[in-house]
Amino acid sequence: MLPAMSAHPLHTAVSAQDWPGCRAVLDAAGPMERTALIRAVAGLPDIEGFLTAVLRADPADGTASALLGEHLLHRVRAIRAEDRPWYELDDRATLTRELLCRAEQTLIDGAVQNPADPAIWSARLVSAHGLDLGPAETRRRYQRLLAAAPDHLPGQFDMLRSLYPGRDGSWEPAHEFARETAAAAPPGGAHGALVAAAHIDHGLVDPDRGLSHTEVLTAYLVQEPVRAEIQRAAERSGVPTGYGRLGFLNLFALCFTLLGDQPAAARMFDHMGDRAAEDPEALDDLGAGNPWARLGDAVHEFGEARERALGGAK
Amino acid sequence: MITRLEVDGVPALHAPADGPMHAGLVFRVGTADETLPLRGITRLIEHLVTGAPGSTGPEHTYFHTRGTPTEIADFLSGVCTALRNPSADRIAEARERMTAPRDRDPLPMWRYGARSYGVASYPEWALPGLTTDQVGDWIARWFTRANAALWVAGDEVPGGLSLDLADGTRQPAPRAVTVLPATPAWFTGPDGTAGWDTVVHRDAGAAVFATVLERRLQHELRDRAGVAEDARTEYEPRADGTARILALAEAVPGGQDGALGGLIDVLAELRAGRIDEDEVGTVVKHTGVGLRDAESRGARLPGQAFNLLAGRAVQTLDEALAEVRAVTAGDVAAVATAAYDAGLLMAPGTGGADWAGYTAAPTMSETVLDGRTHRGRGDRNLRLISGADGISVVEGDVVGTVRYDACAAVLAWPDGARQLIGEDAVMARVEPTLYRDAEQVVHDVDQWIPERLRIGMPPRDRDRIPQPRPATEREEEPVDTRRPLITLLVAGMATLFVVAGGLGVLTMMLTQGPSGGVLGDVGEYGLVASASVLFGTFTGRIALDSAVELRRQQHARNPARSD
Repeated sequence: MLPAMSAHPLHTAVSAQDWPGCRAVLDAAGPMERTALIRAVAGLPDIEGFLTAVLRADPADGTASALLGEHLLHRVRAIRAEDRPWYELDDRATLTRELLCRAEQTLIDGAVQNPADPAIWSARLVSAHGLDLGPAETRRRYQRLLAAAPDHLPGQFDMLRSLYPGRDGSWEPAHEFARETAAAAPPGGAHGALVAAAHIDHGLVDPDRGLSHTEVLTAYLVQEPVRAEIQRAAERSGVPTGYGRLGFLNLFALCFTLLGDQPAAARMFDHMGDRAAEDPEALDDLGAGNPWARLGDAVHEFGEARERALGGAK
Repeated sequence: MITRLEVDGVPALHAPADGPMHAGLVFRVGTADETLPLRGITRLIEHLVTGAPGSTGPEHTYFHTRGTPTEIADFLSGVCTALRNPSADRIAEARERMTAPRDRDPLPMWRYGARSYGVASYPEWALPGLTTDQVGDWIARWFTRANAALWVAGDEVPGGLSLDLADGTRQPAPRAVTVLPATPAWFTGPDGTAGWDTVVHRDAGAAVFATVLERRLQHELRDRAGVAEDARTEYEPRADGTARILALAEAVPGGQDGALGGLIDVLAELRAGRIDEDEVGTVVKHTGVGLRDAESRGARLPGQAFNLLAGRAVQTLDEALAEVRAVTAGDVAAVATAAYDAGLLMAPGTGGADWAGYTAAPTMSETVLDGRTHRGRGDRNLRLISGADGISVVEGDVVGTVRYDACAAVLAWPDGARQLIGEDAVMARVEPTLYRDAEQVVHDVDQWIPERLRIGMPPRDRDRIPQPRPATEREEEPVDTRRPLITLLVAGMATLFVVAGGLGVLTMMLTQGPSGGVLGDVGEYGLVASASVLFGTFTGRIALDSAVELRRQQHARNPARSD
């Protein structure tokens, strides 16, 4: 969730089914913030009817298409995460397929009306992945995203995830994508976060060895090529100034903490300022999930790591 | 300027043309007039008549040549002479020249089944077995004076030209009846190509739409995404006032899913009416230039000759230009919507296109016919049902039913295999090796299917004849049979023994009394007797179960008997 999302004006407007209010917030946001905001409210319950009515009144409203598409994709994730007891029929595959098809058709129509809307093309990367449409189609959609908005980090995260291998596949294409995208990003961008995120996901892909997540991830990160790549990505990126700044700092703070590089971790915590410490919800402004939650209790892990890195300095 | 005239009773069109003189003779016959058992006969006649390539399309077959007036007159007169006497030798020669395999377009079969326009999707099965009589009959029906038109592009109609054709009647184009229950639809096509076709009202707007679609596909698939080597569309006007529009995208290696996704997006774009006035303007301009150029070379004449055969008016260049110039973006958008709704997607790979809102085209039958059931040998999933109405083949959930009154053809192999093809293109294959007592079914099929629907196939190599599947299942079979038998024997013996023993003890108890016997008192006798009854019931139950199992197995082996 974005900073105090439940108090965010967009949250209020969506909950109140106030579409002009939603558009006012979203139209004022930058392209990347807009995509992230749409995703942040996509999980709100019972908004399908509201958004369908908005689209019926104006089929060309790309923002409504993107939000409805993301809402349906959110429901797919929620259903997948459900546990079904053995005595109940497991119809999750049918349900998710049907939702994915509806999301995709909403997004096809949305993309037709708004061919340069990066939120729609980002969502279409997620639906392509969910529907298993294939690598060439995913790449085609990514190219459409780049044509609409170069360096669109939310969609680049989706592209990165779609490159993650299944069982026994190679992670190299994902790392290569992260490296190249980070290298090509404009100065001040948070795109280096792709490199750190890919390594954290790679390191935790197979955590079931009787070890804690911290131990498993540390063992992965300390490998020399991995360590060097993370360090290089942090150095090249500097400190991001805009979208995804906190998410970036946190991903690298976590990596440096586990690598035992306290000074580097301290620099990351330092740049976060005090607000992040007061409001741990604010840490994930990349929409990629709070990285500290990967190790256990996010607030606890974050607090402890920050304490250790900053030590007596703060 | 096109002028109408008549040569030996054949309606003709003449127009002056730049460059060398050329002319053609067209007949209103094509692959859509063929049936499966005669598939290929039209093209065979085309090859029979001329060594030079002519052309056989769905509705028309034409013979075309360039040269001096004398050469043209000789060629066309030669065509007519050749049609007069198709000898067996020349049929054999033509067949030799036609051996190269041809690319087949699967889309018509999915839209029309195994009839009319769908026939073009099938192999030219008739070629090996065509007789001189069949060829003669086909010529007599279709290649006649009344069913022909001539065009000549050049200074004048050659003086020595004579068209000595047999008399006959003008043949209307076949009716196009779709087998698709719902559109837009999709089916799984060959790897490497994403395709789509549709049928719309035939007019200049539809032709412009086809070109707009081609440009969009080239832009999106080839230039922007790089997922296709090339993309093209074809606009095929038909005699019945409709036109087929075909789009094909040849994917780069590994790019077929992107080619399909891009094609789906472009179609959605056009359907939504996102058509630029400028784009339409450009296409209209190009089309106008093309029409003028075609007019100067006499290249519009064949299409106008086809119009003559369809009873349509001959269109002058000015009329054609005016029609094209009047096309607006709104017209193209209207065509796009109709085209989308009637569309049929050919999706490569395994992902289909239901995710984009397309309905799966039927791949099998909905009903299983009543009749005698023949089970698969060693495969419980497989059933063959032969009834008075037709044949059903059931493999798990997959059903292939062909009714005898809607059968398009039967492929017949010398080893007894039969493949029935329904008019809806569903197939039911009778492989005698795979079913119990399948010879009966082969006999049924041969009885019910008239000779004219039979297509004789060449003998198959032994390894091409399918054999009953899993060897493991067949090895288990004797074990399955023997186990209940042994159980029955053992349990039966035990039952007899125990029950006899129990009865013995009971008799002893009743006749000799407790004191004189082996056992101590009445209680012990009672205990032994009741234990015998209990154990006897138990073993008896086991014996009964195995007897039932044995009976079931015998029935399963001879289904014909049990029914």
